Amino acid sequence: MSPQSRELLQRLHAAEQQLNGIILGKAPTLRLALVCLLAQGHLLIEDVPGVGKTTLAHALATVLGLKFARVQFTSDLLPADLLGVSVYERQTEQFRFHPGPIFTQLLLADEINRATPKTQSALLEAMAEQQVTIDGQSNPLPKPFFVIATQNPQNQIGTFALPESQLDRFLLRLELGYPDARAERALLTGQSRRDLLAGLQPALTPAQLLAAQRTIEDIKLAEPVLDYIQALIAATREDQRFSCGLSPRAALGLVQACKAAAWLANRSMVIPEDVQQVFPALAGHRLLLRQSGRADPHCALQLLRVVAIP
Amino acid sequence: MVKAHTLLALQHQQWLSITLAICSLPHLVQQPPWLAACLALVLLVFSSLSPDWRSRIPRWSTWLLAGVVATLVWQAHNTLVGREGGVAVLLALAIVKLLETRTRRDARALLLLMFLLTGVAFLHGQEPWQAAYALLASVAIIACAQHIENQILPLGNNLKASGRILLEGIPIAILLFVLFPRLPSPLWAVPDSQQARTGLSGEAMTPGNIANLIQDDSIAFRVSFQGPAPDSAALYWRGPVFDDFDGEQWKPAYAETAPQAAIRFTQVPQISGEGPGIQYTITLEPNQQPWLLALDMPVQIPAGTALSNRLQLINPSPITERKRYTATSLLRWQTRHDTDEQIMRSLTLPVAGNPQARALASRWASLPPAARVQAGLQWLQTQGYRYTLSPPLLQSRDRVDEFLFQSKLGFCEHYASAFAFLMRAAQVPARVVTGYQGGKANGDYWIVRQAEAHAWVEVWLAEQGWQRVDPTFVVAPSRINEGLANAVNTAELPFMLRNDNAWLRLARLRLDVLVNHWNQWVVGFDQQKQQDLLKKLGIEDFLSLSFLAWLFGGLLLTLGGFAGWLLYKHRPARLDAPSRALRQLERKLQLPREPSETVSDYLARASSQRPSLARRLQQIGALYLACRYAEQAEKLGALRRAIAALPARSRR
Repeated sequence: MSPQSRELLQRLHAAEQQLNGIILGKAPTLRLALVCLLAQGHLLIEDVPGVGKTTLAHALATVLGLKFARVQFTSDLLPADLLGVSVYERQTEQFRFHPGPIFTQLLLADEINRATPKTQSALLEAMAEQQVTIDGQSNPLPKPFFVIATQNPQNQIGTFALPESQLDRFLLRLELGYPDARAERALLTGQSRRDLLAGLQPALTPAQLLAAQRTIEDIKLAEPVLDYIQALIAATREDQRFSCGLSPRAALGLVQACKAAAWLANRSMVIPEDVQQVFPALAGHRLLLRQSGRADPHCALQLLRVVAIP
Repeated sequence: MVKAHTLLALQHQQWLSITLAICSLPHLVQQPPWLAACLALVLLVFSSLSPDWRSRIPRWSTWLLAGVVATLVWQAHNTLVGREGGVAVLLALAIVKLLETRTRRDARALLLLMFLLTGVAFLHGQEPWQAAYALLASVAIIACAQHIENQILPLGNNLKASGRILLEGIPIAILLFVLFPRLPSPLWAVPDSQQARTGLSGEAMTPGNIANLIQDDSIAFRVSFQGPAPDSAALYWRGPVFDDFDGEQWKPAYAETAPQAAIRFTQVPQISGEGPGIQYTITLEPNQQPWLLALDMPVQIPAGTALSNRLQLINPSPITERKRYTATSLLRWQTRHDTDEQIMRSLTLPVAGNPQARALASRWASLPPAARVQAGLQWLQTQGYRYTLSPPLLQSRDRVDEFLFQSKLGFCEHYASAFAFLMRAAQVPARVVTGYQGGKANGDYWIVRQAEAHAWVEVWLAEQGWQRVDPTFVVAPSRINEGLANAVNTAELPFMLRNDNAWLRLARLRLDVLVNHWNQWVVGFDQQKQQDLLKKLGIEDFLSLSFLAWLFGGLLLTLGGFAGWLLYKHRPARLDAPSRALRQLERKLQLPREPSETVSDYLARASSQRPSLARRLQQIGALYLACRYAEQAEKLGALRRAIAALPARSRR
């Protein structure tokens, strides 16, 4: 590992440490959140209200030193509210584009499933192409660009399920879940989260984050691990329970995420343990059950138990 | 195909246990309940043992256990061989084998044992549902084999794939079923189970024993007529004939059994008759008796059987398997003469007893013989006799008198017995014939049930020879004309003979059509049928050596070529060096790795079991990951040395 890479890793671990001080008792989930951003993926956090989804997004933006914007998705949110509008300026006798809140480095799309499908789709191009096209003119988004979306479980009132195409654009989906008893006690007796958030320091610059993203390209991926990844992907496609298996985009994402996980674990090669660490968060929201049309996170875990490691 | 000495994982053990349970079920239900409970318990306990526990069980204990189960089987069956004992031993040992199934090789042996168990289950019976269960068990075994040979699939896919494998085997199975040479008789006889079989007895007839059969609606035999079927009132199915009466029982005066295949009866009366012969094929359920049933009176009998001096159809050996035979009978027949000895025997009565009946018969002494028969029938018709399924028990010394003059309630054997007695007392030679009367058409064949057992009388008249007289007919004509259900109180009858609940009975009859086809074409596919079928296909000399050589040579070559191609196509990928080292480690630790378990998890598990090795296992793990996933081949030597240096686990 080059000294430069080592320094980046130290900075990221420092960032991770700060996150662990804010969100208590959720180290594996926070590690996956970092994995997701390092693999240049967008993150979906799904859980009931009040477990710290928004806090996590805030904290991530701060410790990674990213420009941060938050949009509260509601049922009357329009695409223009998100992307921006062209306004006619009398002085110049021209239309001028006023960029919306999406022109940021880290966009927190809070409660994304409360917006209508139309607005949700407006995010699609931005997430996939890192640019926004309005009135035939493409406007590139800043680099790096991440979307962290939070959503409540779909059986709650007044929500629109995300379309499959949109779901596929989120690299990982995480659930925070309730803290365990010890973490909750620490939460109840400790400082207020708001104060802690204010005290967070950026651990690295956006440029360093981009460098870290490039670093993980050097992680070694041996044949047996590729065999394993392909076996897992094939298993999702053969399994009759799912309406469709994992897409090639998901497979590419899995490779990236595994490399990021390996790098964060201070290793120069991917091992099946990395695959098992990342796979449930990657596959959970993509594998929709044929019968109910909904995702069941347990299915991904089940597949891990069934597919042999070559 | 995976290496044979690979250790089995927990998943594999569970699959094996479940499959073994499926294969054992048909045998367990046949065992005495306590033995079945014991074996099921052993199966349950073994299947819950983890591979780790298994590896701690010393070798000698499996021998001990085998001895214990052998003792249990001996307790239950008093033997370790034969159908009952042998099957129980096989079952018990298969279950014990589960305990020492540690490697893939053991699993393969156990899977073959399960196939054997599934085949052996046909010793308990060869009904269609048993075949269906065997098919199910085969799917389970194949699925288990697939799982163990490391093709881990979701359960549904695995079962589907196994079903497909079985389907692919069916053409070969059909080919072998049709073409494999059938033997004229089985190589070994399956001894009958100890369960008593109900049915007509050829040894004696006592009033009361046919009435017991009435409660039995099981099938005695099935008949298909080659031409139009006669009226059911004419269907007298002739069985054992009795010509000796001791005052209580009717018996044969001498045994007419023939242990040899070539039966010779020297004094068989000549039968003549008119009208077209009725040709029919009977499929007789096994009744453990050395005689067959035939429509009264057979003139062309199946090969290997013989018509006895009493005109009874004799088989060389007891019927222990379903027997299918074709015969031709005449409904109107005569016997010109019979031996004096036979006629004299048909006049013999005990010296004393039943004085009232004798007095009644002596009143008819002046009439000609044919008129005496008529007088006897008229007596039964006019004196208020009633036909019932539950006659009172006759207990006095003079039972014929008691029946004729007091109770006047009787079933067919009461009437046959009393009438034959009256005739003999009136100097008309008479004997009792038992068999079945009637039957029920079901599609293109007839079913005759045990409940339709019947007894009638034959009298000898000088002009006509032996004549059938059915005294039951004059008492209850509806029994003969309309069947049993119309002659008696329906509530006393078994379900299949009643008239109510027609749809349920219809469903069972429909099912019987299926069973009949199964019996005819699968179970009853014997040498004769095979030859007939092949002749239709144009193969005349089926058993010729050259044909068989071509057939099996071709079959072997095809299958061999196919197997060779498959083996070549699926030749095992050579394991890479680090994986081989890991296998070595698994053997050394005697702890198998689950197929989906990562090396870190595996080593953590191993460390928790042998904490003293934790540090070394950690090093091994790091070396393995470096060799395999970072492709640092230079560390391979270190990995191998580290594994070789581990102390082997001592087997306790």
